[in-house]
Amino acid sequence: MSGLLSGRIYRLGGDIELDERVSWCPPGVRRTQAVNCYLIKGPSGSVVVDTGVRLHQEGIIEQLDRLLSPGEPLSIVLTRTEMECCLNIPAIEERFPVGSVWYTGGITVPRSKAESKRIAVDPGTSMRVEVLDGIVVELVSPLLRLLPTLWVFDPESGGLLTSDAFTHGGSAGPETREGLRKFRWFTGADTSPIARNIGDIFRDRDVRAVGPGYGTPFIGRDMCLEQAGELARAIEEMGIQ
Amino acid sequence: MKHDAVELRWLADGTYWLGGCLSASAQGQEVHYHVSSYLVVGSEATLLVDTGDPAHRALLLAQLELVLGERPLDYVFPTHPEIPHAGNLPALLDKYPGALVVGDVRDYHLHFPEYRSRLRTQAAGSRIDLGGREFRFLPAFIRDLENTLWGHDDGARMMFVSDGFSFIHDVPAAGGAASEDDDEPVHLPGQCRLLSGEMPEPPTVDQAAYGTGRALYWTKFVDVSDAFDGIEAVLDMLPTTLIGPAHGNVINDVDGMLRTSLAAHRKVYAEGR
Ligand SMILES: [Zn+2]
Ligand SMILES: [Zn+2]
Repeated sequence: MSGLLSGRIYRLGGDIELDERVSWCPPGVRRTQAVNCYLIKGPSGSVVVDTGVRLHQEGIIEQLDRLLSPGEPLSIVLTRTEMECCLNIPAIEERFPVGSVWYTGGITVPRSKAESKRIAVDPGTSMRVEVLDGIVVELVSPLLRLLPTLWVFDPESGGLLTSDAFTHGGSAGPETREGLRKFRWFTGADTSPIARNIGDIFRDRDVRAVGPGYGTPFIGRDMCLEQAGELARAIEEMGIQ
Repeated sequence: MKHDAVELRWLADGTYWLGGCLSASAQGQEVHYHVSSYLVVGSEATLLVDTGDPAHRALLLAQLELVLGERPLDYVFPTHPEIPHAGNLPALLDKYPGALVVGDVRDYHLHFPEYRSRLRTQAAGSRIDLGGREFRFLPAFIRDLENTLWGHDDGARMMFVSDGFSFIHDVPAAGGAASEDDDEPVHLPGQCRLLSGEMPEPPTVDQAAYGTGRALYWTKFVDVSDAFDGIEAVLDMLPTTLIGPAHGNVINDVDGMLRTSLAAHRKVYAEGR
């Protein structure tokens, strides 16, 4: 566990072996990779963004134990309904008071008592939502997606949690393209609007840290802008010209 | 969304349509959404395509028991690791301790680490002999997640297409609250478990396009005509009289629905650009 933006956003989770058993692994790559979920600490409650892989369940519960005060109210926000985002909801619900689970897309999520808050944000737009008393986040619906996806921007800290995008950090010589393996459909599409959308998202917000669902985060305004520019370029190059 | 129990349906010799429907209210009308599993029973072994949604766990286990009796389930083939397709893996593997998970099993060791020793890769093109019939793993020609496979059973001449070919037969009223991310291919109560040819009307290209564009967002931006060449090549090689999507009605008019589907994809692409 480590602070992404001190006192406000914490990165939870653990490492996996990134190898041919992992669907997003680029060919020939073998190394460890961080799989992340995040905690946004508010004045009277906290928001968990994604819940990590089940392989890391015990560790994530311990990390939450250390960060949360007893009885502290929680909301969960899912960036996608894929398994690496939602499978630890039951374990978290069992141990902490989770009021609601926010998500997008048509698939049901495995929650029990928490209120299900399904929301739709049209791709290319965003919506401010008070996901817990005192915590307003901006749910950004990026064009960079395979399934319905939300990025979570915390205006208070400038943290942008980017789900399955910006996932190339952490290797010795990070290759931006390596993080785009999941988006194979880009090779058959005109990707200019998707690349432009990245630029817009970073132009319209003061992003001070990028926290991806896997790979290491990018910290600092300049670093974030530089990475956004490189990702946009890589997306542009991947599409039909 | 609540879940409604529906009876299982016998489709062909040793081939059963299991699972259930989820129901929701759309513009004040109750609509249904299939979350299907298919059971293929050979003389030697049994295989389940997709695990269904955890909301249907008890229903699915009861359906399996009804068909299998004392026989075990030998293989579970989740077409891809999403909740409605793989969410019941733990329950199935616990109930059938000899069962193996087969298919493109990348990532499952992260999601279900306690069952890691029961994962077996079956690549596209590989086959499992079920006894008197053969189950073949196919590439998923139209998919979202990378680790998706389709399948084919030569006993029932049935192809299993996961999130492909899920049509809706009624487009919600114009001006409704449906948004881009409402992606369920729905049907009406009373139309559960119907074959496409048993529906009151075959879907029009417009209706198919409506469902297609919603279920697979990216197909608005990519011309999938090549994928249809691949599908037709497989159909030429493997005689097919039934197509089983995970969320739509089972298709028994294969040629007609292929034409409708291709036209729908082309329409979605033309309008998405
Ligand atoms: Zn599905
Ligand atoms: Zn139904």
